[in-house]
Amino acid sequence: MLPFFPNPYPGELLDSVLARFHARSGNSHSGQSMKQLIGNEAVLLSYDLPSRIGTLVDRIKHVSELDSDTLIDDHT
Amino acid sequence: MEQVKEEKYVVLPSGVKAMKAIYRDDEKVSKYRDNPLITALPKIMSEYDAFDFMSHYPSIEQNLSEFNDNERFHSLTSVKSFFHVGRHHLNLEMTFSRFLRDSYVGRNPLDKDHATNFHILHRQLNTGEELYLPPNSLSEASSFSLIGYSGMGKSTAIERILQYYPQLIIHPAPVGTTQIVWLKLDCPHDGSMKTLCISFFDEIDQLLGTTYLKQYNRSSTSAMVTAIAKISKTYCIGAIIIDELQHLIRKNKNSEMLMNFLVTLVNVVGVGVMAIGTMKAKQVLQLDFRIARRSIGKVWEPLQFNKEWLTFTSELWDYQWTKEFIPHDDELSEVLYDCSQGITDLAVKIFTLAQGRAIIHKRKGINARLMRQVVKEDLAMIKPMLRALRSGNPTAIMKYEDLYPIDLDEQLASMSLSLDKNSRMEEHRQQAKEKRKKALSLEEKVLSTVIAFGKDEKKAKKAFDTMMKSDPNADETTLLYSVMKMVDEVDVIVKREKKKQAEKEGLKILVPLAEKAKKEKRLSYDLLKEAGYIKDPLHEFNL
Repeated sequence: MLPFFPNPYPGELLDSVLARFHARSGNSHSGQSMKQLIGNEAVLLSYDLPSRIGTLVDRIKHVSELDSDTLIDDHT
Repeated sequence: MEQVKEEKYVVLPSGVKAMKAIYRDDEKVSKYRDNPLITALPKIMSEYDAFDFMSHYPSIEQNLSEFNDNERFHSLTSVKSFFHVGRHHLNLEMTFSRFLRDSYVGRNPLDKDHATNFHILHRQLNTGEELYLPPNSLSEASSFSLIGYSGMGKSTAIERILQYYPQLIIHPAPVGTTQIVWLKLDCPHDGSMKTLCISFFDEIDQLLGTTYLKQYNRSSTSAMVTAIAKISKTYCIGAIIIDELQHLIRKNKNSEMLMNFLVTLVNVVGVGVMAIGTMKAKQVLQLDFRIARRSIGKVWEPLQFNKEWLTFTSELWDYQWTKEFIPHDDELSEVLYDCSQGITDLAVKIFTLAQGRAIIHKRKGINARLMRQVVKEDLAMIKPMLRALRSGNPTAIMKYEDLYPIDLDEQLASMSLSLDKNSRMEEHRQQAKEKRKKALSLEEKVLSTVIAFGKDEKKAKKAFDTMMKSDPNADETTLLYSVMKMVDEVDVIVKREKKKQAEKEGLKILVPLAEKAKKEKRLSYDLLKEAGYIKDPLHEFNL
């Protein structure tokens, strides 16, 4: 469970949201942020067909209204 | 806390419970309205609410008359959680409440500035630039220093106030973050920046289950500072409270750096910083800390002998565990004032220790002489400090302030030892001695009879001892009978033991022989024969 998650802007791509997460997280390396977000720092999220959306949505459900469908429809 | 109990909590991976944000729509103060960070906080308390919330009166046992001295003595420490709310406490609560809320004014996470600042901070962290943010004219964050004599209950008071506020509040979208309302750190003993930063990361990690400490463990101090600024913004930290600031004094360069950092947190990041320290920290706090754009300062002097002191002592007077309840009067109260010089914590301790003395020395209740005795004998260590307080000389007071912390438990422990030394223990010892004497003469009688029957003296003595242990009140005849029986039994047992032993010995000789035979690849029969354990049949039967 993540303690915070930036609210996506309309039409913002997922990788931009995740980049903003990293900028705010205070983590020293982006790998650390990826690990927190999807559990694995080696996975590369492609901007058109990102994977592990389920993991991500589950981790941010307390601080975000995003569900998998909205995320795919509006932010990829 | 009652009103938040029904609300839902979220348990974070760290195991800490965080409250789900409920936004109050009844906020009347216009600068607090429309700010989710403020409306999620509990309501501003009235003075009466604050009084009820902060004060704590431990309950006293109803059946005190049935208590014996030991039970009375053990009850004494209940007074430790006694918290009397005075005017200075209420004043502190009011100021803190304003200080905390004001630190959120102009820090709305939904504002554009909030997002912009993250990008500036992120760049600074990457390039290693000095921490700097464009000034926020709306920010009302301030520095807050609380200076007071040791034992005036500064830390206890602030902890009780903090309990009113949930430490973590989870905000759903659009804010989408966990708000850390307050964070309490102790000033490091060496006064170093780095240690303070590390304890900051550690505290955050423990609250949120993050791994900042591991990530920044080896970073430079300036990277740590920028990271702290960022983290403070992300989690919307309201107030950072730094206790024991008097540790800073010794190292001058360190203290300057740390003060600059705290002021930066206030002016640039917009976090409210509260520093608590004893009189020793006065100079640092009043000169260096006040550079912050807005600052609040409070000094807690010892109480004066006036109505407030009388109210305090009359509340304290309820906590008597001695045989007789001594009613509160102005004269005794004045003695206590003279003994403690208006330091509330010290007064509570003197009052308790005097009761301890009363119980030990079989007095009915406390009196002026007992209280003075406590100061003279039990608290001899802090006498120079009391003298300094009486003189009112600030330099003298500062010099002796470190003497203060006395541990009530320790004092009581040394007292309970003397409780043992007193008359009753001596009586008990005498009784035990007589008992032993009686037992000896009985022993002689029984043993001589048993020996006269031709039994072994040693065995008889052993049997007697075991019998005495199992039944110390047995009379002569029973003892004699059971000792005789036991000695006989012992004889039988000993014989049986001997037989067993012999069998074992046999095994010890024969088995190794058989093994040796195996090794040498010979018949074990031959070896046994050679050793003389098997007789030659030819010789045996004389054939």
